[in-house]
Amino acid sequence: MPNETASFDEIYAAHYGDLTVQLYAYFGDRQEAQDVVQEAFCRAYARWRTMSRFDDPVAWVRRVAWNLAVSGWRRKRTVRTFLRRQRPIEPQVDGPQPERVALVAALATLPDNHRRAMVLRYLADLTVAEIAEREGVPVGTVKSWLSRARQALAARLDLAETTAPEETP
Amino acid sequence: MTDELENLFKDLRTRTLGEIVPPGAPQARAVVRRRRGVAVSAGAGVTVAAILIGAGFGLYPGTGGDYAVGDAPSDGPSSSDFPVMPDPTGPEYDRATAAGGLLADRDKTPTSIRATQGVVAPDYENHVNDMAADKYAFRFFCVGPGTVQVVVKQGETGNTVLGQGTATCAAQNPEPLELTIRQPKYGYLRLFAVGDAAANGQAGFAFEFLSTTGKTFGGVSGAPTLSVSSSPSGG
Repeated sequence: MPNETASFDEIYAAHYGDLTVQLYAYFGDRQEAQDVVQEAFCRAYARWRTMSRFDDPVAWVRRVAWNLAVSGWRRKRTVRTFLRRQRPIEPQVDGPQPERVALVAALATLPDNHRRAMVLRYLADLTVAEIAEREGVPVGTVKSWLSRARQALAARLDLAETTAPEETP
Repeated sequence: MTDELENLFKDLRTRTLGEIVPPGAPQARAVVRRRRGVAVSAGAGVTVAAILIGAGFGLYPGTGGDYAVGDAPSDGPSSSDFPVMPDPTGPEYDRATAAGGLLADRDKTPTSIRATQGVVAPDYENHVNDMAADKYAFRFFCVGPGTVQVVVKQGETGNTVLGQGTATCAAQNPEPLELTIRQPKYGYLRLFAVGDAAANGQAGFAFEFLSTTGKTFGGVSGAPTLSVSSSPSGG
């Protein structure tokens, strides 16, 4: 149906990039982020007649993409642990190290729930209440995650740390 | 949040968005159409069997009958009601998985690995980001029929060829196409893989870049992920 196609195309165009950035920040692999977001959109299109009736189809796509990436992430967890253990004694990569690479690397050191909260808050622009609902935890818990995550990132990136008013526990 | 930290997030978002090349909505629709074709073929067999045994079968969305476009709408769906659907299945995906299994053992490989796997297509293109200046051992495996022409180029644009060759596919224990790739400066590598008529849509591939000098990537090493043949699929 033309309207369904137009609607899908509009949502794809408006959200593919942002969803990829979020997944990249969380998982540290833009390659994988692009693949899983594309796959999530494929799955959304396969049932678009139903999907298009959702209040927020983007939330569905984000959730599917996130879950796809998590399943891959679980498979490579052993590898990641191995690499972290090896890294201090290995030669470092030469060439430029963009600040965003440092940020993504710093995010990777956070606990999963802290990192997820940061990405949803500052890259997906969800409110604290929306994150709490998504995660199934009290609002105060999300505020605590965000506060501790900020402190950890500020320390790792050597930044001055202040507290965002809306996130004060 | 610190202003600096907030700015870093904004910078991450802006710069990354500027570099992402979406495969595109038409490509997503093409994938769904292809999968639906496979599902229809399988469904026809089920229908014949159902008639023969005098029993009625119904495809029930969400329980394995995946990729059926136009599921009947239900009342009041919400975005949190649906489980993640199963991964696509079929012999070509099994071959992609088999090809992925031929990559280096990450538990025994000290350097980080950038790798992926997928189904051979006539126009596969993959942009591999954040590749340090280094000498890489590149291997491309193809499981199934046919051959695949592989070209590795430097950067996100341009036509500087760093290596090329032909991967010959085989049902079992295929010999990989092996290239030495010298990335002169930090940035992108692009990989182009063009399958022949026998390989396209039938064979599975996997490739990997391994540092030959023991370097590691600043971020997380990429383990194989299923790449549904696309153009481009990476970034």
